[in-house]
Amino acid sequence: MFDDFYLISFVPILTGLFSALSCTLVGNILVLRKRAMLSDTISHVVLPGIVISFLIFGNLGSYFMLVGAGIAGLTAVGTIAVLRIYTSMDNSAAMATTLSVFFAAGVLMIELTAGGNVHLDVEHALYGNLESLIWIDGESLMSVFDPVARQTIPVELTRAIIGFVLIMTVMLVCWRFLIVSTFDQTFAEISGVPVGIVSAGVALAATLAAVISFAAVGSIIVVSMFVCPPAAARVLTQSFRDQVCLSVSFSAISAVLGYVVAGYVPILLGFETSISAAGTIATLSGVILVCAIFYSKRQRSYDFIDGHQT
Amino acid sequence: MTELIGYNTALALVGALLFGFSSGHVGAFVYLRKASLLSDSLAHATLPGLVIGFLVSAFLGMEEKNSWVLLLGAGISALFGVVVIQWITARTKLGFDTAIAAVLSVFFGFGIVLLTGVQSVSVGQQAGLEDYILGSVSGMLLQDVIVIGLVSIMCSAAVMVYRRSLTAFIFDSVLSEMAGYAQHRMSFLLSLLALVITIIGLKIVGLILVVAMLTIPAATARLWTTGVWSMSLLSAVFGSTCAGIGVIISALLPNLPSGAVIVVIMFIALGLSIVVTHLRSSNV
Amino acid sequence: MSANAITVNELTVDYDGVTAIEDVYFAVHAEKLTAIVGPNGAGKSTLIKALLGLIPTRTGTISCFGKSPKQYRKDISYVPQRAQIDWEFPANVFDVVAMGLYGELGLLRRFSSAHKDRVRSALTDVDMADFATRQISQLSGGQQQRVFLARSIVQDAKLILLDEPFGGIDAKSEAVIVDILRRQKQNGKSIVAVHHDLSTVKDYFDDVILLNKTVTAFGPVNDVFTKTNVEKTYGVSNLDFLTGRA
Repeated sequence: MFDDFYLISFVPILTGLFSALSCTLVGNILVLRKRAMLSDTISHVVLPGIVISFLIFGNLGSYFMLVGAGIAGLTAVGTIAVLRIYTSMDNSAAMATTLSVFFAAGVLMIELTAGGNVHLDVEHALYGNLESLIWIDGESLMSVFDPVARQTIPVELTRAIIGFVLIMTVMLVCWRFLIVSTFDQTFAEISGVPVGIVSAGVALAATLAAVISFAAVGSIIVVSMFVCPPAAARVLTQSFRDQVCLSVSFSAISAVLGYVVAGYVPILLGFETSISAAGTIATLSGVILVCAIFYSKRQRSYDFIDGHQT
Repeated sequence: MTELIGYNTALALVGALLFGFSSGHVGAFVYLRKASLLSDSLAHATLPGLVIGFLVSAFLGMEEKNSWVLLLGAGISALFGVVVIQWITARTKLGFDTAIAAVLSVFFGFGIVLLTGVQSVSVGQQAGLEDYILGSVSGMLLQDVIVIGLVSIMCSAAVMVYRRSLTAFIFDSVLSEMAGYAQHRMSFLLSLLALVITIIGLKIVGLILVVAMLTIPAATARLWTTGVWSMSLLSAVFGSTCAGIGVIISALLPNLPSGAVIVVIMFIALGLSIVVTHLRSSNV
Repeated sequence: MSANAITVNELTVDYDGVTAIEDVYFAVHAEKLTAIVGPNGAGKSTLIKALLGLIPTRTGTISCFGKSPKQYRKDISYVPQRAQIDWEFPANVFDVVAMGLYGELGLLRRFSSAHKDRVRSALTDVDMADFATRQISQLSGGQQQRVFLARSIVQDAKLILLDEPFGGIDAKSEAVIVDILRRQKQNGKSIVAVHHDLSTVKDYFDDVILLNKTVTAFGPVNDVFTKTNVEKTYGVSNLDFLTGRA
């Protein structure tokens, strides 16, 4: 059963891992800014952009997908702004309207063009297709160093790694600005922090993370990767650095363990096919969040007692 | 009429018109309460319950896709979602936004796990289940329409009975409390109505897009009128019309999920309303 | 000694489409404690935002130590209302005070031990050195306000603007904060605070600006903070002078 690990499981595990890590890094900022639902909006509105570039280039690996998604994201931002100016909608209604319309448009595009030589189905948009990322020449870990074998590594993985490195680098470089503009925006602005650029950068990073994760987990389950690990880390930690480190560990655990559980447990139990890896990853991240909340309760009550003693 | 569009479509049309009316009616109050994203989260949280309801009805040997059992499962699941959201916001420093996003995605993810699990154990046909995600009226049965129609009428009736207290509660919750409408009871009533609308809308628009039914007609109506009652009635008319047109289009072009078609039509109506009302006001 | 920290001339500012302050003029003396006093909706917050250069002005000029708003930002530090802050933010006292240096450090410059010493010395100034590792949600209101004061001290700005520094804190903490502000004044800082409690204006401040959309009076408290002027500002007569209640 484990003979074909490099053929079947190696690439999906790593793609899921780096997608999850990218989302979690950005999610830490969104959760602190109380903009968690922005991840939901972004992951829905990029769908038509992804579909259009998929129709043009024929696969989910094209880098133009990023451009398409970026344009869709910008259009959505414009739509939200127009709705808020010209109707009485508050932010949540404008977001709900925009995300459903864009998602509906993406779904209609998929359905109207189905049957051509390229095919992207709606299931893909709903829960990704991690299991399809097969590495034909993957025989062992040594294949990674074989230039010929390396060429058949699905581009989704390469893109997830590049996206992750990019997001992590920008986040480390902009660390101070991110913290201060999230904590106290007015103060940040006076201190000379370009708060507008920082906010736009956060939205852009969320778009990038949503697009590279699309192939792995689809448009909806990706929200759990943005929100659950940072939320779990948030209730357990008291400093931003600890929160980011812990959330990254939670994210890695859910991504890797989620794939393994989905792929192997049903077979070990004697069923014929496996269950959705993306769904299992989301479920695990939710379980971690619930455990973290229960654990933090106990911790906080100890703090309370300590407070009385001093 | 039935000769023109066929028996199935006529059934679906009746269901869509009734559902569109009551969703617009309730939606006006959800919209004024600014609870759109909460109802989005609840809609996604119905998926595990739907699948479990399906398994239960298959296990009990009931007729496939028995509406009542599936919708009951969906309701219980969404109610559990509300409880989790309240638990997270009350017990932790996490914000409301984080709680609804977590519930939305994790419940949906778990639902997908169950859905793929059902496929692998292959009890009966699960093909019908996916219709609930994006909406499909192709397999609509008479009993579905009866369920949707009855519940829609009940929801609209509830809005009519409680319209004054709901308005007072949304506009000024303290004042309405003093007037004798307990806040938590009004809040519960509105959530319950939104939940029920979400559940009966699963078949027609699907759980991902049902939030649009509660939001877009209300926002459109708000452009044309200022009174709460006239707004909710207009919203109901918009919802009903768009749902009806959407169902007919999706029946004429098979393969198109009815939910997606309805949402796009409602958005076009909203866009036209923005343009027309704007021109009208700048002419005056 | 009589140099002006801020000079404002004919300042009119619109906020949300409404004229919030109109034709405002005043001068703030350097190295003094100045209060901005006025009823709710008088435009106090708008004035602060305009002074910080955060919102556009319709007419008028603001200058601070002879510079225009864009140039003088580095000379000002700002202490927001406590209510505007998410105190559950994952940061401890040291982290918050260190944020005062982020503008100066930019993104890439190293946070050296000299910077650490500056943070520690600012914390000593407000008598919060023992709380450096405490999570900010586990502080009292007065302690939270002192942390923000330390953050503005570490910025080493010539002018400190405070938005209701005594909102929601007890009398004892209030006295401690006034003490810190007086010491900063002796160190050569100019301090401007939005203040609500009419009964303490004379005790705490040197100068006062009475504002209600426009300036009714400004100058040293003993000359300006009279019953007539205050009643004119609040638009009521028979104001109970000690409590500020009509």
